[in-house]
Amino acid sequence: MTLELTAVSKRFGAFTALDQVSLRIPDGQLVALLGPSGSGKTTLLRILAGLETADQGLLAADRGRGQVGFVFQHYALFKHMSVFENVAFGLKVRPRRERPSRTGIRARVQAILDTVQLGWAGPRMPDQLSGGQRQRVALARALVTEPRVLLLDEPFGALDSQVRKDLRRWLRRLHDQTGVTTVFVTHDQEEALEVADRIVVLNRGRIEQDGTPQEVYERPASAFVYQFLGQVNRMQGRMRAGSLEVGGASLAVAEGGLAEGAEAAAYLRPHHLQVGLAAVPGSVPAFVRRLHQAGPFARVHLEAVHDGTELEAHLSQEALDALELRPGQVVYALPSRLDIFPGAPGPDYVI
Amino acid sequence: MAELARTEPRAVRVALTALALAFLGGFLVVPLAAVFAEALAQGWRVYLAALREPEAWAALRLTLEATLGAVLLNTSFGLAAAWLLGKFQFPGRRLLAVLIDLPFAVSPVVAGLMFMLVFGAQGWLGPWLIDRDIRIAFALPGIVLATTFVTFPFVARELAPVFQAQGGEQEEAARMLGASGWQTFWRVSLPGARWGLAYGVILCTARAMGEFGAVSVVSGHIRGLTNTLPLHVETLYNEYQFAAAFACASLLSLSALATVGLKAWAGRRRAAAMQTSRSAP
Repeated sequence: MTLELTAVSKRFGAFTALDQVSLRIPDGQLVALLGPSGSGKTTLLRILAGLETADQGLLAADRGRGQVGFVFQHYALFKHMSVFENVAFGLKVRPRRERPSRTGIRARVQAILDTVQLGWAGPRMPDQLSGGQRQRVALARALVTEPRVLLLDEPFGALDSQVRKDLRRWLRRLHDQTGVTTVFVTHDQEEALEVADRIVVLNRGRIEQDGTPQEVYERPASAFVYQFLGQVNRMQGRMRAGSLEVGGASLAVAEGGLAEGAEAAAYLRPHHLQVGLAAVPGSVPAFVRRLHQAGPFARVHLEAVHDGTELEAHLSQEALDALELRPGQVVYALPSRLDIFPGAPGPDYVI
Repeated sequence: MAELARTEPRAVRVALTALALAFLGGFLVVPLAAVFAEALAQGWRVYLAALREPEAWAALRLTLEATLGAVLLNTSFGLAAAWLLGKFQFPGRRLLAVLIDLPFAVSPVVAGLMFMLVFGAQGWLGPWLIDRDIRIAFALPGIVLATTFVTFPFVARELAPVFQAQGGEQEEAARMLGASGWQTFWRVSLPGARWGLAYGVILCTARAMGEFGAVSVVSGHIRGLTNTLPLHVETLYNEYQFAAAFACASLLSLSALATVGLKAWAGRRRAAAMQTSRSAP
């Protein structure tokens, strides 16, 4: 089922949770709504579910009985019912002529419990299960009615990191098998990048960027997206003669639009910062502060000589060995790719 | 807190414990034992004979009828009020909570008088009711009304915090699964709060059976007709029939002891239910 929102706004008292958000989710897509807390992502999901109503705007979705499956962050299992009764609930509340027979219900519940690898857990009570098992029961309960849309609110947020990784891969496989339109809310960029076909980044009730994981990671549309997805270096400076002056270097600005003397900042990923021993045009002189060589690549912590800006560069082990760096030494950091966004110093968001 | 308590000198602890036990013994255990001792003072035969009196039987039946009526009414009112208080925020919510507690603040005798002022022969509705031969004062309906008023807060007060602790997520989950409002209430909300309900009903029952003041005003003390068990005890006592009075009193005491046991049991289940509701599982 296709979901479509047009210019939807929602306020809670003085707080604007959503501000003129438009979004179209075609049938069969797996979409992540990504953003910090207070960005409006959960409100957006709850409006899609019909659990909240928008103050303004239009929602086009066919939300019949049991058409939309919803999974809550804290599972919201019925505590006084067994796992079997929890999963069977969506079938048992149907009007008599739409309800499967008792044996039909039993078979369907058992089949869906087997799918979530909890075939043995039917007679158990929810409080006898672990968090990951409870969340799988919640998924089974949402899926048993064969919904045409599955909505998940921070589904793995309350779980341990290993269980979380297993479950999100499982969710991806489930989507590949069933093809049901799926929207999940998360504040975990790694989760969004790994699971989703498409990421909608939200900030302060607005959509900052909407694209494939590769697009939002490689070509962030705003300073916020740069900072929220992945690691980033930020160098604050001022426009001078068509270039951005930062930390004693002059960085070429690809596009115009920034006035002479305007405050702006350069954003670049750590793997787009090359480290050399000789000054070249556009390079930033910096002290080597620390070296971390554990892991697939080496991380070099730098501090710009001119203004003390902290920078991080990711190099291959071979490149690092060739440089023979020592803490305290001065090197030249050369951005191989960067984006410049206007703005004064200060964080773009607070977690 | 436990650590703090242990720092008190031993003598202080022993003295305080002894004081508390002596107080409990003097004001609770000894009088209760005295009731049974007096009831059986002239032997089992007299005890059983006192309970077999037609008037005692009538009083017991009336007490049970009034209790049943009051508990049924207060369970339905209490469910509705607790649902409103526990699940919704609305203007006037605090006022409703205060109104529900009002019967605790009003003396039962005053409560009885209020009903007489409305339903009594000289009351506002008295002549109208007499014309239509509807008997409320000095009859079972009046006794049920007075008992209901006095015991009104119990179910609502015990149930509202349980509903509140449930939060709204289970109801939302039920709604997303296609359940109607009624299905959600009967299958999800109420079963989740059943121990809170049981606790409130037990307290309400106990208080209803023992109610004296309000019923004393509206019943008119007609022996064998509108005397409830507590009123019957008083009548017998005033007529110096001590063995019979205490025999009937012992019935009320037994029901009180049973209530204490039930209440402790339901209270534990209720606390456990609220615990699991609060902690994110």
